[in-house]
Amino acid sequence: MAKGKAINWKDSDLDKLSEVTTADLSKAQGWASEDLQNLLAAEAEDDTLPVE
Amino acid sequence: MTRYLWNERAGRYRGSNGRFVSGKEVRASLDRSVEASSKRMKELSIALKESRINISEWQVKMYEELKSAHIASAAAARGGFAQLTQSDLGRIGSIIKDELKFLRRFGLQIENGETLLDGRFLQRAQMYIEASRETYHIFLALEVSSRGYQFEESKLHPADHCTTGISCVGEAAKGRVEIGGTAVIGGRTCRTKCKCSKNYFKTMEKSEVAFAA
Repeated sequence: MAKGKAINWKDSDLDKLSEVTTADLSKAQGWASEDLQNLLAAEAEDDTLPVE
Repeated sequence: MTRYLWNERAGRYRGSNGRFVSGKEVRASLDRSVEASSKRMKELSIALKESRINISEWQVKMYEELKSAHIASAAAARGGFAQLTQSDLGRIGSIIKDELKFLRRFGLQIENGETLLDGRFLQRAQMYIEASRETYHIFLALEVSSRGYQFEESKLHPADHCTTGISCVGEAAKGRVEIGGTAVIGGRTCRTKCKCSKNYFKTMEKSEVAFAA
C-alpha cells in the first residue's frame, strides 16, 4: 500500500498546471538528451540559403 | 554544443556542416530522451512502491516529467522552441491537461487501493511518458500540413507490428491517403511502442518523392 494521500487537483488547478511558460521551455530543454537539446535550440535559418 | 538551424522551406534541421538532419535522426534523439525519462519514471514508481516517497510527491514528479516530455516532443517536430507559436503552446497545454486528468485519477486509484503497486502499475506509469511520442507525431502532421503536404502513407519498419484492431499492418495497407487518414502513431493497438513512421506527399502522383518524417 502506498503511503500518503493523492492530490485531487481541481479543474482550475489543471488549467494553471498545464500552461506552458518560458520557464517550462527551459525545463523541457533540461529534460532532453544532449543531442535533442541541440536540435531544440535551433534558430530559424535565413531562407535565402539553398535547399538540398 | 552543436549548433543547428531550422530551415522552414525544407522543414528540416540543418547542422553546422550544412547537412540536413533526417526525420529518422530527429526521432532517434527523441526516443533516447523518452527512454531516459521512462527509466526515471520507473525508478520513481519503485520508490513509491517501497514507501520511500508518498503519492503526492510521486504525482508532482510525474507531472514535471510528462510536461517536459510533451513540450520537447512538440518542439522537436516544429523545428525547436523558437519556432513554437502561441497556438502551439495552447495545443501543448491542452494535451498536458488531458494527461493531468489521467494522472489525477491514477493517484486516487493508488490511494484507494484500486490500483495495486505491481508490475502493471510500473508499466502504466511508464506509458505516461511514452505518450509524448504521439504528441511528436501530432505536431509533425501540423508542421507538414502548413507547408502544403496533404497526403500521407504509414510506413512499417523492422519491428514487431501489431495486426489486430487499429493495427500498424492495416494502416500501412491503406496506402496514400489524406493527412489524418491513418491512425496517429501511438494511437494504434501497439500504442506508444509503435515504431512506424509516416511519409508525406503534396499530390497523389506515384512519382512524387516522399517527405520522410
